[in-house]
Amino acid sequence: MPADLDELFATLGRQADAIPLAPAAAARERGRQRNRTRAVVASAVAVCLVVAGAVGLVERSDRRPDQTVAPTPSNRAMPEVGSPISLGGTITSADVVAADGRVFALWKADDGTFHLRAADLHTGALLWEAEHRTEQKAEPNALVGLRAAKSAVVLNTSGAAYVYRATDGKLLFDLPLAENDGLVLHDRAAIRWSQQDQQIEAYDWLTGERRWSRDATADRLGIVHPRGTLRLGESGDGQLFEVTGEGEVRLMDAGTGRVLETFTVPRPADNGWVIAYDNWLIIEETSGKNGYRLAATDLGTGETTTVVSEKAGHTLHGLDMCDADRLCVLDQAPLRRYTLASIDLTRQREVWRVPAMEGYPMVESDGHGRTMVADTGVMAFYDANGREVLRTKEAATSWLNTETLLNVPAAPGPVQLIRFSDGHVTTLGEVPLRIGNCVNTEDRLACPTLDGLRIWSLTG
Amino acid sequence: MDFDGFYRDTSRRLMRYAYGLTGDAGEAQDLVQEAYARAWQRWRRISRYEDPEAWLRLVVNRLSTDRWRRMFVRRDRAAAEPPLPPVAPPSENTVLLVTAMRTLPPAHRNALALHYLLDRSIADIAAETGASIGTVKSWLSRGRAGLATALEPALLPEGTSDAR
Repeated sequence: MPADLDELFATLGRQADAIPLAPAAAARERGRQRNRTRAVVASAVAVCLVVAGAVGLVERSDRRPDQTVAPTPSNRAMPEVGSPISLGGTITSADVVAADGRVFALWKADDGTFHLRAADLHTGALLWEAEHRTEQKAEPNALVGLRAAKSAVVLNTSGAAYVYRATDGKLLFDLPLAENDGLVLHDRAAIRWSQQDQQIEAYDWLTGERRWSRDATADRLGIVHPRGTLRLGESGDGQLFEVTGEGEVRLMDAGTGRVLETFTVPRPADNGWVIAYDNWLIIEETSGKNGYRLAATDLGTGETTTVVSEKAGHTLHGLDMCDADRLCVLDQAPLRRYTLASIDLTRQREVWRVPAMEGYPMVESDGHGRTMVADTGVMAFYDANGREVLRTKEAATSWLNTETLLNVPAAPGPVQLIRFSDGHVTTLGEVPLRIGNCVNTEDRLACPTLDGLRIWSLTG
Repeated sequence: MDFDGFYRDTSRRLMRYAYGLTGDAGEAQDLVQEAYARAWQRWRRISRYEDPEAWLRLVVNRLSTDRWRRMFVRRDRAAAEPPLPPVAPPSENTVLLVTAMRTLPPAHRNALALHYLLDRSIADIAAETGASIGTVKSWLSRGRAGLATALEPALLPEGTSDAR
């Protein structure tokens, strides 16, 4: 048995060298496919980096850019709610999601069986258990995921979505999914969008019956949701937008499929972004080597105006709505210089622009004026005036509420609350090694650990 | 630079890196494909970079910690993308090592993967990550210490070694 790291890594390297590689053509094809679906997935991607990273170092970057505040060591454990809920056996990873006062954990046993457990976030009590035995052989590339809707929790496997009632774990129905189908978990229906035939179908949460459908449209770009839906990919407020390549937008009732309103917006650029936020629809009209132009349509009036116009050499790298009528744009200029700009959509003017980190950053906002720009392991937080307020390194940092950020370590370590206004750090206590990402509400933190699913209080 | 030639020349190294970060063959395959798909989308720009392979590593590194992508985005694989041949199960030592690697902070894990799997020098890692030489040394040192703690004492009876 090897006795040093060189040999261990050499073994691992040889193992890696034996992993089959797809041909370059497969990557090209995936890239082509991604271009086509970009309009729909763009917002979802922006949320990714919130959960990236590990234990946090907090830096107040406005006044003391060189000062880094290390996590305060803590001897005390986090106040636990209930007892650890066993996840069975010696699993090494699990996913958790939370909705409506419940937390759900998913893991896969060695025999390929998927296990689900639900617990009450406030009492820590186990609510129910379920398992799903897959009929297919284990596929190394199979995508598995757990998503929570208002009344159900959905297990996504490579070929179907299995819908369980949130209250008792009863399997309500299953919905076959082709490889590239999209599934939108709306409060009022589970909506499947087939990329193969461009058909949209909505299914009743309780019965699985098809409630409505829309026939294929040749140039349908996809369906987009108001803010709060697409960003999290989970639930919505009753509306759905269908966008065509010609710029025709149909506002639909997600519960009935009825078209409520139709209007025309500028024709989106090839591979351009089309994203809906609250009262606005943002369209990338032009993109490419000649720069890009963004148009914003006021969904109340249907009026469209150009709000951003960047010259050649600039690329739209990311965008998010940072406040009710403010759009935050992450622009990439030549030489990989990034800037973050805030655009007032009602006045069609730039409010501020600040340099952003290099690398491959993404932007996300809390929707109340505060914005985060993140790259691997680094997150910079900006206030409503574009001032970089603090920076976390290697941090799993997320918005806890409008005043506070939550830092959860990947390795055993302290959970911290960071006050946004002044960067003040409060250490709540230690948590053990987690084997997946945690979820939190304002008062609870739930993580899969080697001891099982554990729930802690964030309020003491 | 031709995309296919670039893929041919660099994909095996990227696979090593992805596997080192994730310890999961399927995940590594998907990460590598995803990184090259994104590179292809931006190939005109990426191909002009001084070190496009570093850009790919950056994407792989970021995506490896990206929960959303792990859970859902693999769905976006092209329908025509054929399944890859099955992967042989990892050896016992590899399982131990990747399990130990998962306990490390991403920066330490990244530095170890670059150093041990891609033979990158400390100066190379510093240049790629934008960190100082001292920081990279610290990452490697703390990463090795973390591995030594996580690995069974029986596996590393004389402590860890750093041959480079």
